[in-house]
Amino acid sequence: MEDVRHSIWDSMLSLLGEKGSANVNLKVSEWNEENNIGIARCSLDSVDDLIVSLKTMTDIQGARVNVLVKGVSGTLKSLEKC
Amino acid sequence: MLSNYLAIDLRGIKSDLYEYVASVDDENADFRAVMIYPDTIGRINEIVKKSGADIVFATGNDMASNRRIIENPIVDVMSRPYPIDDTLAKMASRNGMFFEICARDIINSRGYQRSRMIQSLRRSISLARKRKVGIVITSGARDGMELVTPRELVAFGTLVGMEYPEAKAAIGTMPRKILEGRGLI
Repeated sequence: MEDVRHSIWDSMLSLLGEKGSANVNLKVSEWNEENNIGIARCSLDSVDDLIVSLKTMTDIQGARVNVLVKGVSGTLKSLEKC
Repeated sequence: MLSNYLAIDLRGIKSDLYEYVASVDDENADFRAVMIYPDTIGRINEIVKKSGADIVFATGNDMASNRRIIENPIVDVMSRPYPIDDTLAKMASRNGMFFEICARDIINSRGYQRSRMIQSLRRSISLARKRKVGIVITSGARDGMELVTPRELVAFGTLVGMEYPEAKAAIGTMPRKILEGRGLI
């Protein structure tokens, strides 16, 4: 999870800069190592910024990755349906 | 949620996430596209005829070649639509040309290059909006590892200065217009 978090932050800092990244209020609250699915929380205004940052993250620790956003929701309960 | 988008990817790979997909490389795609690069601009008609493509993309380079692209009615979509000025945007609008925002270009660039690209795209989008030129957002994916979901394409649209409904139209209504204009759907 630490590797994923670091990679997201690196990509976010590269795209949005320090000020923009601070506005996102990112919190990687869940990460399932087995099926590589996680939940990232952010402020409502920064949803699109976070999605683009996740998309521009092309590798984690040298391994090529492609992040797919399965869903966006205001509550954790409705995220389970995605 | 994502499957609710009736999205069309004009330059990607075949996927369940999209209603229709056109592709330059993927033979399983619904429609075939061809990409004209700056060094082959002089042979557009010949290349298009030879490829038998349904949709024609041309990559922008400098003002002179952008003018040649916009003046050519065979080209449907102009990829990397910069640099352009107000006159070129007006011509593009008159000729029914569309501008393309490719997510892959933004993903694969870094630092100064990406910053300049976003800056140029924002300017082109502002001109396109003023002159009512259609904009399409495409993934540019060449394999499964480059697949972009419709929701992510909308996010790329907002990154380059589009409003949310405008970005949604750029993955739905606008590509549909191109396909209908060509009599493909």
